Amino acid sequence: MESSAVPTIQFQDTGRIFAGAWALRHVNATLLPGSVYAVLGANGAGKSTLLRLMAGWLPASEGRICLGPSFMRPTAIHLRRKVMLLDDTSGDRKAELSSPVDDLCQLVRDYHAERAGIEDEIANWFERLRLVPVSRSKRGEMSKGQAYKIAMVGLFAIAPPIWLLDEPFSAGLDAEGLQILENQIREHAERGGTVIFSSQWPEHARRLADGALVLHEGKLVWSGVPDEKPNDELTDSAAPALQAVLQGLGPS
Amino acid sequence: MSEEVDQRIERKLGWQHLRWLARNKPDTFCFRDRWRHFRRRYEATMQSIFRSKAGYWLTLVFCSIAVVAMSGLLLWVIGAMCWGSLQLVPTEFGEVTPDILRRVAFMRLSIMQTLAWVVIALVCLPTDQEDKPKRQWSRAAPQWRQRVLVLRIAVALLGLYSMAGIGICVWNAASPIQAALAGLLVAGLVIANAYWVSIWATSFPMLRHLLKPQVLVTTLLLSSMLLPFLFFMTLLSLQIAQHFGWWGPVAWMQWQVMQIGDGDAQAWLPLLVALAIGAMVTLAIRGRANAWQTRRKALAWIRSTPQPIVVERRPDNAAIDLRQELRQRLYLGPQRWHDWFWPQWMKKSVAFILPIALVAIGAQGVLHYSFEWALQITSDAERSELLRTHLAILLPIIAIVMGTVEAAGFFTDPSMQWLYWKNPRSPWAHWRQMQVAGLKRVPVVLLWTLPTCIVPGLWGAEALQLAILTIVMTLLACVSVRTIICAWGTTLSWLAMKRTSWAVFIAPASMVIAMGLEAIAMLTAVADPTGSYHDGFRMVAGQLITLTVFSGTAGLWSTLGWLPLHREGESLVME
Repeated sequence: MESSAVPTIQFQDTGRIFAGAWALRHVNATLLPGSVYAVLGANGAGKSTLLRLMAGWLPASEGRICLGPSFMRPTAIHLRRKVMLLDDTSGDRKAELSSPVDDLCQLVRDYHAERAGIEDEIANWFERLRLVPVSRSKRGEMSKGQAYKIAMVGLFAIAPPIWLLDEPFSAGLDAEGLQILENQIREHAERGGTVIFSSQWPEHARRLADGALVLHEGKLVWSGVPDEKPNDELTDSAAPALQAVLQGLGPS
Repeated sequence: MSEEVDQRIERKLGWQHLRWLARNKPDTFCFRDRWRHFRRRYEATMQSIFRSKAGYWLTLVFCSIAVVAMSGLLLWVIGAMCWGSLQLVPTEFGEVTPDILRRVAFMRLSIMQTLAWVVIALVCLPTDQEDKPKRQWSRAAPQWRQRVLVLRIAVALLGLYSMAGIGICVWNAASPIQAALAGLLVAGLVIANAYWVSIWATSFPMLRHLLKPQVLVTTLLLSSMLLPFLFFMTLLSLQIAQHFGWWGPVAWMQWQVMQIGDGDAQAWLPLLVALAIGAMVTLAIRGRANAWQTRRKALAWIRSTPQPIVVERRPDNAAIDLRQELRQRLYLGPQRWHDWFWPQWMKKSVAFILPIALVAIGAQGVLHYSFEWALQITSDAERSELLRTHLAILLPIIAIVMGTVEAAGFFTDPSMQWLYWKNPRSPWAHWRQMQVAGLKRVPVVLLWTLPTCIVPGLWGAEALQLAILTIVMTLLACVSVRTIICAWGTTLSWLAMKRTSWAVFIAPASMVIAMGLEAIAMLTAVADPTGSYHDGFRMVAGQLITLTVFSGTAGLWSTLGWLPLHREGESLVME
């Protein structure tokens, strides 16, 4: 992957409002290509909203999200093809009745990824993730983890420059699946891509991420390297939910 | 206050307990001790009786008495209902001629036949659990079981066949109450017979292997329900039934019934004897099928036949298949020529399409008979009007069949998505994908429509021309319906993304418009012989209106202001 093909992501005073309440506000940050970032926070902190804004699933209510020189928005299809978000509905068994093969083919078409040999890549991933027996099953017939693995196959085979993973460690993946996911995250970053995952546990950030963004009640309260300890003043004055996240950061 | 609450809780708990008892322990449902004791004693007695051989004969005697009583009652009810039609010559038949008298005799025959078959069915066809196939029973002893099944199917089919007379009584009965009763009776008997035909027919392993049970049941149920309607809805079918009626045992029975109809009371005796013999033969076959000798033979056969070894597919093969499937889905259309006419999605939806196609063809058949019959009593001047009124029913049937196949393909199409806001896809790309997928379905749609063109072909060049025009218009209407669905999906997609107050108001409004237009688009599917608007105008108008609505929603999607306004003078912090 050419590093020039992976845009830098800039949040410029980004905010999003839902029914009169700000889910996210005044977020300013820059995410560089070739890195893995963790978005940390308690429930309702705004992690999923941030990822959805980045994926172009939702428009920002204020500010901008820049991917290189362009602004991310739902109608910017060319930008949205550079990003793929695996959210919690990727593993939702009740979401759809279609088969994995159908879903993946549609995804390949939408991302204009019909390159030679992609079917072999997809089939290889099916074998590696032990999904061949469920390749003809419907989503409703699979476990949550299997459905998430199918979504992972799409991500690995299409491999857009920016990967967004919403709570991947709560997606019902088995140990082998998690190991493969973590390896792929590292390899993608080494190839020059950007990976941003959200989590409630700082341990994942310390193990995987090069940078971390901590959100609390829709605001970015801390950003930096996960191995760095946030200053005590911030930690001590924080609410218990945020305190638990901040205390988990720092050198192991 | 608290007492009241306590009482309410008590009552609620009581009801819940009652519900639990009713569901889980129905025999102890009643709290009254005396009733419960009586119930238990009764159960114990019945069980002890049924364990002994005497129970079998006791049941048989009681059942026979009940059957005779019920059939007598039924006979009396039907006789009372149909007395008017039996005594009077229906006015529709005009002048009384020997031919008409034969038809009236046939009506009497049909009623009597129905009764006969009801009696036979009640005596010979118990639907108890015992008669259901045991584990591997049907596999082990197919011959005897199949003989019973064939007999049952024949009886039920003849029952359906003999509905014709009662069906006509619905219209010819002396009073509305009699007609209503006759109608209820016909409906009940038709459904019951059709149900049993379909259930029994699926017991045949050969048929089971050919089609999925639910497909077969649905098809047979619908087609067997159609059969009696075919017989009693038109005069021609009465004539056909009359000719069939003169063959074999039915002819004998008809003669008997005519004798009874003429007032010969002694003719009852041979009829009852025949019914008794029929019942005994059926019972004998059934007894032989369930005899211990047959079961022993079957068990010996089961033990001597090794169980088939299930060979699991190797993972390598599965992975190769997966590669081929992916390649086919991604790059190629249907690979083999018959995939164009029998694609994968048809296998999923054949249970939906086949019954509707059969019913449509059957309905066209009825319409054809009705048309032919009406031609005989219509003058040449009225012929054109007659054709138009019949075409007004016939052409929508063609459109319905096409619409059914299209809908089945549409809903089972893997590329079909209502909402696409999570995918990087523009509304126009979505529209293009949907229309291309729809065009690939055209050969299948046309293939399934061909049988519905037979009747218009029989009605002459004008009808055939209108049928072909209807096919073209339906294909175009499918295009416009898909366009409207795209518009709908686009509206819902931007509503899901936008989630602002004004979008909540605009989106439903545009969806209501889209739904209204969808109805209009569907209405443009039929060539209009009455000429409310010119067909060409309707075709073009349907496409233009739907495309305009879709363009509007796609335009809104692309220009809704997805970026918030940039406030001048505000400093944006860049880290």
